[in-house]
Amino acid sequence: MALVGVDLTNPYYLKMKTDAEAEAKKLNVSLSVQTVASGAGADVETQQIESAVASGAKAILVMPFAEGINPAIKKARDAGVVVYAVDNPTNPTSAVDMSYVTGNRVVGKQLGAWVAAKVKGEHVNIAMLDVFADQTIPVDIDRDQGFLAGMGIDVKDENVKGDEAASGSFDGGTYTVICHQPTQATQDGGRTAMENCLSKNPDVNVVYTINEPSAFGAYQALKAAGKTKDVTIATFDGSCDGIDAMKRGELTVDAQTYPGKMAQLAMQAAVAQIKDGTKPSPSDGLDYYNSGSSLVTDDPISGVDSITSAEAAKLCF
Amino acid sequence: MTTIEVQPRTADEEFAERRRHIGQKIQHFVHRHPWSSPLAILIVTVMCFSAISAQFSAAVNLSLVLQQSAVLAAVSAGQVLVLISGGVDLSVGSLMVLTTLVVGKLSADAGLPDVIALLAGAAAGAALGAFNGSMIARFKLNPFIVTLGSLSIFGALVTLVSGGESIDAGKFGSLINLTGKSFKIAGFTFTWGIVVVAVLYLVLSYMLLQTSWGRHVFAVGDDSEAARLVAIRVSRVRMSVYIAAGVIMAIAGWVLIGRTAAASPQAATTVNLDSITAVVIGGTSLAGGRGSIIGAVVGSVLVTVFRNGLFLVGVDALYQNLAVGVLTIVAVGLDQWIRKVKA
Repeated sequence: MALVGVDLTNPYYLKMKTDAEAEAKKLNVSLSVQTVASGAGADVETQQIESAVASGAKAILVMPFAEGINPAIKKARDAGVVVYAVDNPTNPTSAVDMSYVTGNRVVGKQLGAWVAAKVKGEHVNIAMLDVFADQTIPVDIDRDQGFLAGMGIDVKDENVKGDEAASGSFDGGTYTVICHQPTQATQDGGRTAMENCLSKNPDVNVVYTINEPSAFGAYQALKAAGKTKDVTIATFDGSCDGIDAMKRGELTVDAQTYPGKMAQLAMQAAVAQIKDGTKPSPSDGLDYYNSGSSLVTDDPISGVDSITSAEAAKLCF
Repeated sequence: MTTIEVQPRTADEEFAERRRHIGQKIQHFVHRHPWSSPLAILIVTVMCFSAISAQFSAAVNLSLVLQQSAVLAAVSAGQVLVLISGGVDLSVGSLMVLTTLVVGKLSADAGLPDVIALLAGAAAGAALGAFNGSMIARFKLNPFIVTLGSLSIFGALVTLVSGGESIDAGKFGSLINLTGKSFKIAGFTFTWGIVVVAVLYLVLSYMLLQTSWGRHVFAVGDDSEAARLVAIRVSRVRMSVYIAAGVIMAIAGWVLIGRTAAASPQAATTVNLDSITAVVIGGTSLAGGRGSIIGAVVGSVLVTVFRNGLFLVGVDALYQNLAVGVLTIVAVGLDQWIRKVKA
């Protein structure tokens, strides 16, 4: 079995790798893990899929970066290899046998709905800190668009970031989207992006960030500008570093995801499918398996499910 | 009867005072002062953005642009040195991140005092630079290939040393975090990181322009064979350049820690190529032997101003990269034109 496309500079993927290796021992399968550098593209991943097939892997778990890997996946499946997506789904989802993913759009919506309830009645100035400026990465699009939709904003084309009306109304008030800025999902990228947004409009009071590193960077920019008060910072990951940051008051709300669980479920299903051909079934009403998430906040709002940072600390990676 | 003796003028003097049209005059001036054309572009760019966007010219934003430029400018200081010597260093970014992790681990995990951790970071930078230098100077390998290799090697070490985890600045002492602290002058906010970068450039300018070592670096970059014939120890000079660049990366790493408030393995993903862009825009020749230290600062600020300014005037981020790309090619084209200068 092969796990492809792992970026080991990110604790999220590190957790996925460690848990997958533990699960491999339990299931008695041999697992090869192929790592990539941050910012690697479809070409690198295509090669990794090809070499996994060449090495005789019966199943490949892939963390898809871009649609460009679909031909390589098709070749692998044609050769009789079981291919699952983990972490985020392929586009289209039917490119693989099954996707074990955080339903990023679903989670984004939950996060957006929480923020909308939190800032009800105010005019909000929203800064959107994405991964890239382009529209290539599904998780980038799904979280961004899910978040805005969750706030009750009309996102127009749900597969295009940044095409919503620059200002209008959301569930509970009026909004202006100040910026969509690329962060490369990193801490220094997050800081520069937030600084640029603050230059455009210093009254930003809702900050969406694609992941925790970019949220940490955004917090540094807000702190340097003396604007940490009354700003809602919403992000994704739920790592132990992130939960600590929330305890220090640097994050308002964090959607905790479970990378280890995705890999474990996918590996169990792959073993079953290789043995007797049982195809795994998706979550109700979806075309992928949603490994779930929880909203973490120490400022709960009645009517929206969430857990506290103390509870999340027991589940974090 | 008195006669006025007119000394016949030499051909050299005649030639020096020949009539030149305006293009030649500019070409000549820019050839002698390679920083002048990027500076002119920077001034025009800042004026254009200021005219279009009031947010751009706000003191708060201009302060941010300088802060955002600091890390790139520090890295470019090392890169300009290497390019003048006729080499190139593609590993600068990962070398820098590796030194931040050395500093971070020694301070946060081993509990060493800040000064010791920072000095160890500088020593690590020197050692990694020496690795590049020895491959290039002693084993005569192509610098492009060597540093492409060390980019991967240092990148892998970053992952191995960090285990993918950032080290939060809260675990460091005040000296390591100094570069992130700020102070105000006349409405502008400066970080100590900017001060560190300014001092770095002053020292580097002195070393390159006022010492014999500096002249040797230029000579080796211009024509290494000629340098050898005048008894310059070429491989020693090359070695020293990469070691110095390694130490400069450690200083850049210190500035980076201040900026991200962490030692993060994911930081500075774009700085490897951006530093070459900044230095080339700043009037330094990729062919070696000709370059401007001041130009490297100007180039770094210009790249940052382009990204920040285009965003504030409402240009899509995708076009920001396009604009920086065009700027780079124009800069290289300008370099070619200037090199054709006659006398």
